[in-house]
Amino acid sequence: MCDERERLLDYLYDACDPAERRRVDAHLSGCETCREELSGLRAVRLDLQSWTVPDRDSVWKPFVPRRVPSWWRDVPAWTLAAAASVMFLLGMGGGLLARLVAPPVAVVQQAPPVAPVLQAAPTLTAAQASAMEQRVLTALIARLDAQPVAAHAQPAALVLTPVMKQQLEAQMRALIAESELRQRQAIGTAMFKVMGDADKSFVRRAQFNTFRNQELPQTVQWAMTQALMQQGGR
Amino acid sequence: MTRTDEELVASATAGDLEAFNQLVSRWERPIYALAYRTLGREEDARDVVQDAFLRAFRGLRGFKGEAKFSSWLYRITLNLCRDWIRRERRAPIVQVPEGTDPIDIADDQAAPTESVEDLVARREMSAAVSRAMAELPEEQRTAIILKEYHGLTFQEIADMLNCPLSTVKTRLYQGLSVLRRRLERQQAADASLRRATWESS
Repeated sequence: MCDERERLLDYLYDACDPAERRRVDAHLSGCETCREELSGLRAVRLDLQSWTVPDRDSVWKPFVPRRVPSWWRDVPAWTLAAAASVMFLLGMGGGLLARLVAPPVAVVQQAPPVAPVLQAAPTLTAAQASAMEQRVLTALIARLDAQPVAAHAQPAALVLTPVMKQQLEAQMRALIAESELRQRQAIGTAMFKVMGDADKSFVRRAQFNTFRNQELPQTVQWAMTQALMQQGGR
Repeated sequence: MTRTDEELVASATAGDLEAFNQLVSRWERPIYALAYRTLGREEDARDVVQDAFLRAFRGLRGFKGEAKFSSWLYRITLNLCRDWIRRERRAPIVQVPEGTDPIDIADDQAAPTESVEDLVARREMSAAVSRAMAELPEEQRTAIILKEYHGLTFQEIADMLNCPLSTVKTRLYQGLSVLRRRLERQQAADASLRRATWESS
């Protein structure tokens, strides 16, 4: 036993089975050297417990799941502005194209009975046109008189005097102008909203820096102004 | 319900960062104590703890669960401590706790029943143990730390240090014997100093 430190160590740390423990106990009762050795080791173990570790805050900075960045944060601001400009120009171009392709005369042509007459003689003088109208009118009245009463609703409304034509054209132009204005405002508002949704800081920059520094195209600036005015007017 | 280390490791391996945070919070204190007692200086121990957890996080996929997570973490920490000692080419530093003035430490009593004299004696013993441990060979010191302060079994220590069971016991026994002699000498010196002081006053 006295040469078997391993068994004494197992006994010290209570790592031996009961039978082994009984054997060591029996040896210790008759061996002064081993008793002193065991006593000394127990004292050292007690002394070791006085060695404390200073209290300190955690040194670990917990992991925080990374936020998935919005896709538009990777898109440069100038790209968003360019996309908005393209959208606006497309809208503008569409409006102009509609105006060129469908002039007021074409709209007048859709008036059923009179349009063919106007289109057939675009270079007639006023007197000739008036005489032609009178002849057509006389023929129509004669035909209507020959028909039953139920069919009388149409003819009178189909006659267009020069004054009426001017009024109609003026109304058409006013309607087109109003439509274009609404279109510009809608595009400007939509563009401004998209930019605002994308990044508030970008909007601030666009409003107070980029916009002020005249870096955006004129059309975009105009649209933003309209949108801001609309927002302010609400 | 408290999740086991193995469950937390499985979640962390699957990408659950919060699970790894829980593992850190569970094991940071023992790992810090192990590093502090091995290296002897707080700043170095803190660096090693951070490094140990970072390495553990990076190596989670390589942890197959053959040993306990704590044993794996201890092994990482001990390897880092060993690297530190070799890099610094010096023995662990003996950092004497601050505030050895009895008046200063009166507010730092572990228990209300502990007198200031007892507290001073405990601080002195702590410093003496720290010095004596710092002078031990690294293998003996490590064996004592793992056994006394972390309660590992002889077999766990043998597995962690990758050496035979008998070697662990030998290192532990030799280390404790050396400590015993040094501490007895220290206590005898302290006693004679106190006696001399008392006689001169």
